[in-house]
Amino acid sequence: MRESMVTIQIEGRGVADPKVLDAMRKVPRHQFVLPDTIAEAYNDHPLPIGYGQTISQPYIVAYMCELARLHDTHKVLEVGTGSGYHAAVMGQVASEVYTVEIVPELAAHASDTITKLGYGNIHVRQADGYHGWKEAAPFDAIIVTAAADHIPPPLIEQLKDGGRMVIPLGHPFFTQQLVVVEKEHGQVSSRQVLPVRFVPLTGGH
Amino acid sequence: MSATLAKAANRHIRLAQLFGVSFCLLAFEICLLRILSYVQWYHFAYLIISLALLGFAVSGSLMHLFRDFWLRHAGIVSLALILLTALAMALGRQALAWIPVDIFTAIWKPSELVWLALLCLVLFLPFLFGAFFIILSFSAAPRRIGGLYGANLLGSGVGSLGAILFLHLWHPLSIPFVTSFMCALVALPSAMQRRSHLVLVIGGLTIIGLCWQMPAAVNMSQYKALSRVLLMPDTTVTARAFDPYGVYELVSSPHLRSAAGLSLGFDGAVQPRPTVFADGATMGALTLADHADHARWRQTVFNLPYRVRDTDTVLVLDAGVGEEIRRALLEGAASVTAVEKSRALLHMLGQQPASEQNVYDNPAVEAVEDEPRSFLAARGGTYDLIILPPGRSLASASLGMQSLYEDYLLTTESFELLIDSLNDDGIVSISSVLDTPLRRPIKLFALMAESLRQSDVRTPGKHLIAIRNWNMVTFVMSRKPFSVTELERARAFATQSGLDMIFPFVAEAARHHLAENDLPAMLAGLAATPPVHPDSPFHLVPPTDNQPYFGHFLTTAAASHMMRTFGAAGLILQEWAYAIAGFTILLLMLSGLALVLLPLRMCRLTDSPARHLAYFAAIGCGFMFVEMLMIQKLTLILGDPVYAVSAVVAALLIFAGIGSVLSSSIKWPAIRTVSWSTALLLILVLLFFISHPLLATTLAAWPSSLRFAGVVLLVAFPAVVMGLYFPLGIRALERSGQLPLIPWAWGVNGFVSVISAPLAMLTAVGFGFAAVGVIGIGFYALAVGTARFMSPSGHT
Repeated sequence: MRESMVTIQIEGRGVADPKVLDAMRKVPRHQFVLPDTIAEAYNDHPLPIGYGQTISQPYIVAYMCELARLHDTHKVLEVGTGSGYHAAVMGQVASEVYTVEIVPELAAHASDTITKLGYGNIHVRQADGYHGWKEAAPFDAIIVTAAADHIPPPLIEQLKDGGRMVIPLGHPFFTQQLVVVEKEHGQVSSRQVLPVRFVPLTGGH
Repeated sequence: MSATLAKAANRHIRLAQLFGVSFCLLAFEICLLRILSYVQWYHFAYLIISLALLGFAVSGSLMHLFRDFWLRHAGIVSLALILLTALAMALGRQALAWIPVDIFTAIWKPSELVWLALLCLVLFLPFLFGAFFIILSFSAAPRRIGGLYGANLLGSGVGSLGAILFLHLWHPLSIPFVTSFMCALVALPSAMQRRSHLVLVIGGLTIIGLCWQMPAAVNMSQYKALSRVLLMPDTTVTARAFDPYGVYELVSSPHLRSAAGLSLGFDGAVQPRPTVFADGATMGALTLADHADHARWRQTVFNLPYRVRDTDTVLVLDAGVGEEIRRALLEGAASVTAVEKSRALLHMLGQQPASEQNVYDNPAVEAVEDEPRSFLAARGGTYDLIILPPGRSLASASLGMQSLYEDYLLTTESFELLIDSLNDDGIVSISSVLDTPLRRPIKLFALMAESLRQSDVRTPGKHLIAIRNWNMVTFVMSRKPFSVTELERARAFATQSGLDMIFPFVAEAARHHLAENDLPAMLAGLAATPPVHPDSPFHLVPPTDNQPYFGHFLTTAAASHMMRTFGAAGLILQEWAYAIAGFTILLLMLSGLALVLLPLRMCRLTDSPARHLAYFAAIGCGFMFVEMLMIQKLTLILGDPVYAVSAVVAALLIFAGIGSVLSSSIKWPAIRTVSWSTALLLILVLLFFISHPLLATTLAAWPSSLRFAGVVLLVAFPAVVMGLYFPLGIRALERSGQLPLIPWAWGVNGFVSVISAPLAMLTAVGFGFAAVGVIGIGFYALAVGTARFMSPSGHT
């Protein structure tokens, strides 16, 4: 099922980074979903994990990792651990993953799952992700899974020069666009990216 | 003599009970709309209205199927129905807690729809029982239909006003117990004659009282912002207020920070602030008097107007929690007029212990409790700057939630009023999120350009500026052309603040990039003379008062394209309002067919009912379409949609009730009355339509009590006429000995009303309210054409 998920949903939509594809093949997504949705764990859509949160669609997880341009020497920050699945995937590619979750129950559950699966390079903290993880900064990449109405200045500060921040926007059940924030020589810029199947809408239809 | 007196007393009790049950049903229905807007979303309102009407329709079928039995036991059945109505209201309230409806997951897990269907069934019961009591009363005494139908309409009309009063007095979640208790009390007079009946009623009252004292906790959808925020540590609701506009909750948390429109270049601190949630959605954060927080107020897209012109006198419309008031004061405004419609919100803000947080207390601020459009029409004034806070477009930006919501502030007529309310150097500022697919900013800009043209501006492009950050755009519209110096100032502000200017100049080195569409080029096209409209599949035509749906973007081309690109689930999530409306219509069509028309069809009728069916169907449709037209037109006069709908519905039902009572004393043959009534109705509606612009302007300047009286007067005459049709039809059936058709007529009338409500709304979205009015009168004309069965020779 995992192989078919990667081949059809992810590679089929143009995600080509072999490290990311390999990570998606390795991480057992079904271990991160609620017991009553295990049968749907590898389906092509997000799933509820309680507390008003979701585990993202597999394709979006892979695409965000590709956009972050992760490397095996990278230190990555994730704001919004949720189920811990995204952190687990990034942990397969990057050197260290620091993930912060504000809801205590979600943080505890994700931490248990990650420990149980033996991912030693993932560090979970229950805290307000707004402040990032100052002791571990700067980060080569930052993934923000729950966007506020602004991008927290501490996160921009903790982003390494040349680093990338990726933020999904839209309804929890439907990522419409991704925003990539880049920092070059202290200048911050943003670029909106559409998931590949969401081709731009133009006239003449 | 005593038997006659007793009979008369029973008649009066029956009239009072009809009034009471109708009152409780309508108050319950309106409060249920509020509850579902609070715990779920506004769009479930369509579902509730339709469920209520379906209850009325199905009751006709039930009555028809076992008519003799019901009539033989009319006394005890009536008592039981009133009690069941009351108990079902309390049960419906508790069911909101017991039945876990999670509509979002249903998109991938259709089995979740079972919960929604179960909830619909439970909420349908009070309407079924209540309507059954009403039709039983009609069928038991068809000769007194005028008075009985009148009591029904009067009760419903007063119930509409009662609901507004209840929403001021109680939290919406408590009101079903109030209506339930009142409804059970209605049963008391007829239960006094027998001890067993009295025991039943007291038992019912006890159960309801116990439920009221021990209400089941209703959980808000876990996907609403408030639900998610309350999961954060050290986060609590510190104040709560409610009124007919919504439930307002003030949440304090060390984790709640808001800074919409902020530049990515800002490297200071964003302080946590107590935040107000309206019906569970983020409304805005309280403003802090703390100077440490002031720096970030100056580096947002919203500061653009203050960098372009001097802004001493500022008008903030829909001021809400007051963020834009604080910004205006920080930017040096000498006086700020803040228009906010919710008294409960203003009261809650005024009660905060840290009173310096309440920006409305500032001596430079004049708070006006009014609806923005109504304020502009009635008072106007001349201002240096008028601000429409970004919340207005932010709230409507997600999920297509506001697609079918009438917004009279975002229309060309309203924007002309805005322009007229500016002084010679005045400017208007409005912001929007950059949505995907890109639609809102384009429509907003098109609206501004078109309004300028209609205000005799030949080159709108010289009167508009736009800047953006990573996810928001702010437009500034001026009454007079911007000078080169002012444009340079705007450009300098954008450059220094890490923002991009996108109109009329395009930033040389843009910091923010959109993935699709060339927004600056589109804006340039829209501002050109003649305008060049963007090549887009979406509906981007500027809204007017006739079609006041700013959030309506979907066309068949857009739907087809979105279906291909986003998939069905994506389309549904993006255009949620259409999905709910479509689902409601489908559900009602199917259930209406299954529960109303098929059972009636299965019954053996001695005569063909086609002509009768057409008559009662036509007057049902006509009533709903004309009602929708009146609500729309009179909302513009009363200003406030919540009160306007209640006032118009109340006036319409009360005067239709009077018309029904009067129908008994009309000596003309029924068919003649129907023909002349329709001719009169046509004239009244035409007069209403033609005189509306003048009336709207004249009445808008009057005090609200006089405006209300004027509206009641306008509704009264057409409503009296509209109240004649149903009793005339029923009386004709009675005279011709077709008594079994009475519940059938009620059922058909109810069924078409079910379908008409969403159809009239969709007609307004697609073709405007003028079309709704024409179709409404057309239905009444159709009623005349089918009224031959009313004449003795016309019996089939």
